[in-house]
Amino acid sequence: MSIFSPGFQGRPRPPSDRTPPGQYLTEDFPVLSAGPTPSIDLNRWQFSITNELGRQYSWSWPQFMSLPQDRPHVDIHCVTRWSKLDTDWQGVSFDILLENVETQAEFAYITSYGGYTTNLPLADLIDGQAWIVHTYGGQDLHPEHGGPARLLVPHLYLWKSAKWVKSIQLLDHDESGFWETAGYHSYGDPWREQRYQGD
Amino acid sequence: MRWQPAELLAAHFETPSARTLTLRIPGWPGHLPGQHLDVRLTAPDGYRAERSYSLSAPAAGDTVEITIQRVPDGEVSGYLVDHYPVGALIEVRGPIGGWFVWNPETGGPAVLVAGGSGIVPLAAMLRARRKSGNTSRFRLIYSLRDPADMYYREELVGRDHTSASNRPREGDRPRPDSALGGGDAPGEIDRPRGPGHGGGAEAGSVLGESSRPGEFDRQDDGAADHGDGSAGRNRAGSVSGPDGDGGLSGGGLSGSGLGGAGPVPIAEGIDLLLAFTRGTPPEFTRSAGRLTAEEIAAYALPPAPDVTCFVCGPTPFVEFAAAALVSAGHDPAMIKTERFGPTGK
Repeated sequence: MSIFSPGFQGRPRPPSDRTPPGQYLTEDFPVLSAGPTPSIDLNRWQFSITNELGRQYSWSWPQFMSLPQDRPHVDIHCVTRWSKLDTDWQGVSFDILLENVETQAEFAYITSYGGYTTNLPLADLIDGQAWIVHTYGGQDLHPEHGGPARLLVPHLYLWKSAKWVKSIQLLDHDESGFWETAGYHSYGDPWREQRYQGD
Repeated sequence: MRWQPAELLAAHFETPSARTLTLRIPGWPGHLPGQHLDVRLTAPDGYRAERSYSLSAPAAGDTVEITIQRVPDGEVSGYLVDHYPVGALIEVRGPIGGWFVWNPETGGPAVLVAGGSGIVPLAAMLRARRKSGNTSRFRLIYSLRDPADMYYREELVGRDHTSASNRPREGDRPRPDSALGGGDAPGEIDRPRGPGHGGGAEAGSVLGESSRPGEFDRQDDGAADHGDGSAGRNRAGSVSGPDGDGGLSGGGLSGSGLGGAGPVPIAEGIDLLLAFTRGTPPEFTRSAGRLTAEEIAAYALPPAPDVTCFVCGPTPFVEFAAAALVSAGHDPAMIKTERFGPTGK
């Protein structure tokens, strides 16, 4: 018996194979953002990738929507401890977006409309691991959840899946983003429970 | 970040569903208002559950305070509110969070907008301001269902001598500095304790007493009505300024002490607007109803480069209030939000 929290029983235990340590399952889709939800005009929406040499590759909304579409069915895990299983999205794989991008860079620094930033290794964006999605559960992605388009990197804590994504800079060095600067883990693997710096 | 033991020194109820815990955490390094800590509970079979909770007051040495709102089916909040006994240990780690913070050494004027239990981290800011002697202007807009749902009542609106003064609190040890308001609150503030202190029948006296700035609560209420973001009716009525009487001596909540439906001063440099969504104290000037964008625009501090807005509450409330602040001219980069609860979508 633990010396801590006497009398605590807890919920029925979650299925261990799909719930990372310290997480609980939710049916809801909670919203967590650091500031107001930005208002984004699709006519002016643009997404760009800039390589380490400064060359920019960009897509307007119609150009982005005309790219080959993927339909990821994934589990998502938020550092605030909720996990949601079997979520359905539609968007464009980074394997498509990066297809013609020349780069030897190792890191990606993501910037959102509204100013949010995050960082992750470029290797975590490729090989079918990451998308820019515009549809959730068969409907246009709601602005609160990052619409019109957000990053989706489901194997990392959800703060890496930047809402309202605007641009990605490919860098030779790692540069910390918004939460990473505020004490959160640089990588954020939920299965290793990398919530905070030093975890 | 390292988990460490924390002992429950004392506890009291803010409302029937919200309990403030005073925890002793040996070696606690101190924290900034707005930061939170993680709590980990362990069941006899080794099962563990973790959650984060906002700190509600500055630390007093190695003693900190959090306020927990019981949420439906909440396995951790249910334990902490209803079962966690004084003297027992839990595991915690922190402080955590570097964005939703107001630093009393450098912080400037602030607009604090709370929906329900979103008041908790904002209470920490008010208390830290008072403790530090920082005189930056604060404007608190607190949306809540009815008087019984008010956290930190005595600090916010005054003490209720008739019903809240002598209830026993669990445990009998010192607490962190909890006074939210101005410098003239003598010594420790005696806050309401135990469930039921804020019932409607006693609201008049509770709210009409001398005011001291107080506390807040986290629940899915104050904002639940805002889901569609519509401003609804503006019930603000006349927008006459605060009663010249000064909140510390009778501003209170009852209608007679108020000159209008706007904010009232509760301490030097701190004004409070209470927006009850379902029920008000007797003769309260502002009618019950959701907080409107017009009220936020009229009663928040005017936009300025040094004014930071902190908005905390359930997601629909935060969406609504943050958008209203943007519409009122506040720089989105100066609006810091913290959301909790499901969206319902």
